[in-house]
Amino acid sequence: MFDAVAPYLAFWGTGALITLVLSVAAFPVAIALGIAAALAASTGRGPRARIAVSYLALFRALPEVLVIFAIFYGSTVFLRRLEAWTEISFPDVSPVLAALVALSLQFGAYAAVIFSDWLRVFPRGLLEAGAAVGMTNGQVRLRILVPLLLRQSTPALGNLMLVLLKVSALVSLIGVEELSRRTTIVAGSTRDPLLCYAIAAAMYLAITAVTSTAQAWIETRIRATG
Amino acid sequence: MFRLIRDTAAALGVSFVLLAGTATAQEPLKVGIDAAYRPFAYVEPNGELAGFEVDLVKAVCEKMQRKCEISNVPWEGIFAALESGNIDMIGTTVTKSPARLEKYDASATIYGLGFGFIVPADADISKGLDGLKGKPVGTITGTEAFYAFIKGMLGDDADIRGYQNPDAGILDLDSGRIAAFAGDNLQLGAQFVKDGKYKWVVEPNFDSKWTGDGRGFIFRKGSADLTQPVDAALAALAADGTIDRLAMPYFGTAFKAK
Repeated sequence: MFDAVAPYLAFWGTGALITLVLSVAAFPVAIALGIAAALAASTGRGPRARIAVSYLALFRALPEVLVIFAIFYGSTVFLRRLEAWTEISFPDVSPVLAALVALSLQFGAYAAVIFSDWLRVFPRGLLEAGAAVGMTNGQVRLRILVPLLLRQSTPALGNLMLVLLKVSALVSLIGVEELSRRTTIVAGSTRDPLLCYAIAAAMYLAITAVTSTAQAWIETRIRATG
Repeated sequence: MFRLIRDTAAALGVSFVLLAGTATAQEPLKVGIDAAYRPFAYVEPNGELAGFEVDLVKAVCEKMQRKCEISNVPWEGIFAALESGNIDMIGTTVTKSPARLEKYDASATIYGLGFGFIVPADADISKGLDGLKGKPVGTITGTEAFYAFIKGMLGDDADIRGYQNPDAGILDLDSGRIAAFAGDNLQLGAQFVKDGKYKWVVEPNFDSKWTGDGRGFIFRKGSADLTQPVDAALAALAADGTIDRLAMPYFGTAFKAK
């Protein structure tokens, strides 16, 4: 039974690696976007706050699959139009790049909500202390606010990372051959879908185990450094 | 600049199509195939695409003396990929239904096919298709031709369940969630009926009312500069027996291109 599937393990494992790399690459961008959006939204007024609030409202509401489609096919159509107009030829949009942009934008919005929550209960005294020793606004943010925000948000962010790992399966729809797409391919190529899905489940478990371990390690370190 | 050339060309009576034809011949033809359907198209353990459609597209490109880039595009996104220009041709052989022909250009028919329902080998089929009426029936999501066929056979109120691929549908057929699975004679025959675990409720229906013009490659509307050379290549490959030779190892039968 396993004989037909076994030769595909290397091909398949690469797919699992792509899933992991996609998430690991998109996540820091999402965190950076999230912090920026949360800080901008927290000021409450001005064009920057309005942009941040609209970004949150839009990307939290849209289904991931639509965002992925819109960015991939939308950018291709846009580039073709631009090509016809300017007569300069552009390279094709890479599905992997489109997937990274889509996932980063979407999860940036989710991360921003986590940061916003922590911002609301952030002890003002720490910020005032920073100002009192002569730090500029930027320095207070960079040296006090952001590090503490990241630290406090670690458990919630870890959770978000697990969601990202699984949601990233949707990028298979634009042809990125990550774990779920390769599972479909192997299932369709070996005609043994049940076994293939079981193996894919084991691979997802392994990936989440790796990220959970990484998260636990980060949390212990945070506790150690107080 | 381009417009200027075109206008001049038109004014001089030089065929613009000819100009554009030679210009695009340099660029590789981007072909999308969903390689998750053995034996039509699948992936070898080393990651190489294989299967009847892959071999056929390669043969067509060789005949046209044009470089082709074949990419593995999932069925769910394949028409969006075509319309957006990510690919120029769907190399998965697609049923040429009237609804599709309205929106897209198609190549000449590569093979004709019949539609039918399969059930587990131990199911009771003494009542024929009437036995399926009112029961849930599975097929592939988004394949209008199958939906129309099921409604035509079982009535407009037929309970149709869509699946992403035959494998998912067959899993539900095994579990009893659907009473039968509808599809074409080649795919269901080669994969499921041949090994004796499933059987046809009645012999597959070859009426072109349902199966349309059989299957071919699909292009964006207005792709005459692509369909003409592809059709010429297909005609040459059918005439010299290449298509039948390519089909043999995968389906164990030669194709009748209708």
